[in-house]
Amino acid sequence: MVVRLDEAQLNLIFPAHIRIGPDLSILSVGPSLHRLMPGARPGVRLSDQFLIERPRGAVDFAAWVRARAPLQIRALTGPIFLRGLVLADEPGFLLCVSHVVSDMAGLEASGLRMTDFSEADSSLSAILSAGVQASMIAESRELMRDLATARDDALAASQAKSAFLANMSHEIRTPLNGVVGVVGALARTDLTPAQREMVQLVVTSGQTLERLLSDILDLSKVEAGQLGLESAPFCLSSAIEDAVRLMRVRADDKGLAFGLDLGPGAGAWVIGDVVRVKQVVSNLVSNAIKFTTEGRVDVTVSVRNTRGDDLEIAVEVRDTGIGFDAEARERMFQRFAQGDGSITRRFGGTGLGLAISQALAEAMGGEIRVSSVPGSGSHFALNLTLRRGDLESEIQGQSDGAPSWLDEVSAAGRALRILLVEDHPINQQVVRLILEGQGVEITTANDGLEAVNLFQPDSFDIILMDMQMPVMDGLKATRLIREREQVEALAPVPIAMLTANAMEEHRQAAQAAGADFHISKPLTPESLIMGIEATLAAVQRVG
Amino acid sequence: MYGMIHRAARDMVRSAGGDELWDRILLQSGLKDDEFVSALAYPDETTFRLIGAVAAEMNLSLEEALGQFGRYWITFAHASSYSPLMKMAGDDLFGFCENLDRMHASIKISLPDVDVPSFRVIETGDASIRIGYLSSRAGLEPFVIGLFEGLLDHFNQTGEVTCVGPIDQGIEFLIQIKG
Repeated sequence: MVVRLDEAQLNLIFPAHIRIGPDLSILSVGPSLHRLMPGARPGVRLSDQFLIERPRGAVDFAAWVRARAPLQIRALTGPIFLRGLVLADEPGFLLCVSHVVSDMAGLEASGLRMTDFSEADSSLSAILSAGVQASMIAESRELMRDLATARDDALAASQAKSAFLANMSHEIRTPLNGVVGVVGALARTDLTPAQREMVQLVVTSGQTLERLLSDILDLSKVEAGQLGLESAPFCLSSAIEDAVRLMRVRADDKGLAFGLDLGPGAGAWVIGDVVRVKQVVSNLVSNAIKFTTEGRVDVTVSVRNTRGDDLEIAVEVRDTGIGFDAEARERMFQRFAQGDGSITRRFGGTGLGLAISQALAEAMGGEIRVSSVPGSGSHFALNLTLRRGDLESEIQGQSDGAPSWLDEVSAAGRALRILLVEDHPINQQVVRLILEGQGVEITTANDGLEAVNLFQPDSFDIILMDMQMPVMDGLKATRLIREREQVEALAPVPIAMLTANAMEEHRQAAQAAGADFHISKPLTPESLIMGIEATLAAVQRVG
Repeated sequence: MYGMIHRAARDMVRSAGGDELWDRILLQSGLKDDEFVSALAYPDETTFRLIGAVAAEMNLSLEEALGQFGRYWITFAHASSYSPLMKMAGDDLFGFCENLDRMHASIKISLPDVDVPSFRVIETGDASIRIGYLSSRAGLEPFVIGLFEGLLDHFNQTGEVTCVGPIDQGIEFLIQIKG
């Protein structure tokens, strides 16, 4: 069957057709090409207007028509791109082609209109489909931009929160330092039993506040990725005994039996951050006591495995308390979350302890595993792998440890000369109260500049330097004193940075400025005296 | 309807009253961010809830809100990545209206889940176009009027659009160009 199309029908079905003669010159074009390519007029050679992409090479049109091969041509100028078939015609060849759009960005410039496509041509639908895709890509980009902005905002807010926490730590620790320090000094005076009980209440409340503050600061460090860990030898069993000592008293107070089983290898010396290990164990035991109303709490310490110098350590805490179900287990390591809301109301607490403990365990390369049956108690296990410590050097280190300055000053026949650099009158008073009767002579400077001016060769045995002060801060004053020592070849005076800034970055800043030791506020008689001894010992060791 | 409608509504509200107004509308409509993906189809009820909230918060009748939205739709589509496709539809109001149904038919091929309306040019005069509108949705005549008014603006024409009344299975609209 032969179907013949008149010109109107041909234009309707193939608006972009081209008819060429045997010499490959254009005889006529469809209305679409006529509009878009005025240069493609009768008499012009096809190759003067189009690049013939298919078939490639020399074209034998007669053979090509017989083969029914596809045709692909591209305008030499402008974005016109056509593909179709070549069909025989009389007196020439008929190229039945359709517009191809391969680049949505260039669509507008192409000048193509819907009427350039026949209704039978699905190219238009493909173009619209590509438009939908382009729209989705544009939307995805917009979404990614929004997400990136939201992420940046969240990070900025998190950093602002960390900075806020650091600042608040200073603001809270300064008055807390005053309360705890003064009360500590008060406790060392003659008191009636009733007064002693009241003082003890203040001490306990202060310690609770300090612990809460430390938890919040620890959390901010974890979130900021600034959790610095010490690495020093310590005796595992001694550390655990230390950690549970106070807890045993609390268990006694609640009428709970308390057991500590130092299993095989527990007496090993290991290298790690003893403070953080004790903090985690103390937290686990504290929780066990908190959630146990009757029965017992047992702690076992064991070295489960040894691989070379690495010891696989397990500290397990078992209790006969309320336990928890699988759902509570999912939530218990989340920050600010406890088993359920009623737990907070019944037992109190911030809900930070386990989250911090888990973060600390992970930071130390370990983990906390938990199991429980509701109503039948819980089992928490801190698993850590720690390197075996050098026992000999540690014992040697202990025997080389800082002597009490009282021995030294009595041998020297004079008091220990302290330069206290502190802007806050209450804090000045706290230090004086604590060190009263300890064989010291305290000179006070109210800011860093005063300290730098007061500092003279061999004028002080130690400087207690506050970090944040008006006029000149402790970091700058320390740097100036160190510079002067270097210029004048003076023996370095021991400097302890005395500050409420408990963040690791502040400790590092103090060290970088030239401080020998960092004593964190709030001060207690023990922490101040030990801090001074540690500072003196640090300088002696270096010397 | 598809999410592009929701995005257009969001743009319109934000340009009129900022994020604060939009937040109130989101709250009232109960729509979430995942209901604003252009190429996804959402239940009509969701779209009507959104338009209802827009009307309530912008102190408009539902008809007024639909009319404003129709006009804004043209501006929004032209400013979007669909702009080249709008250009393809025609260089003047007459050509555009002639291709309106083809555009919607092609959209239906790209987004088969979307129920798109049909437009048919019944008659064109020197300064008027009669168009038949057929949709499975009822009550959107004010939106269609706004849409044609938006097209008049788009092609820098002034004129009047009226809803003539039912015709065949649909509704007839008349665009009269002035000046």
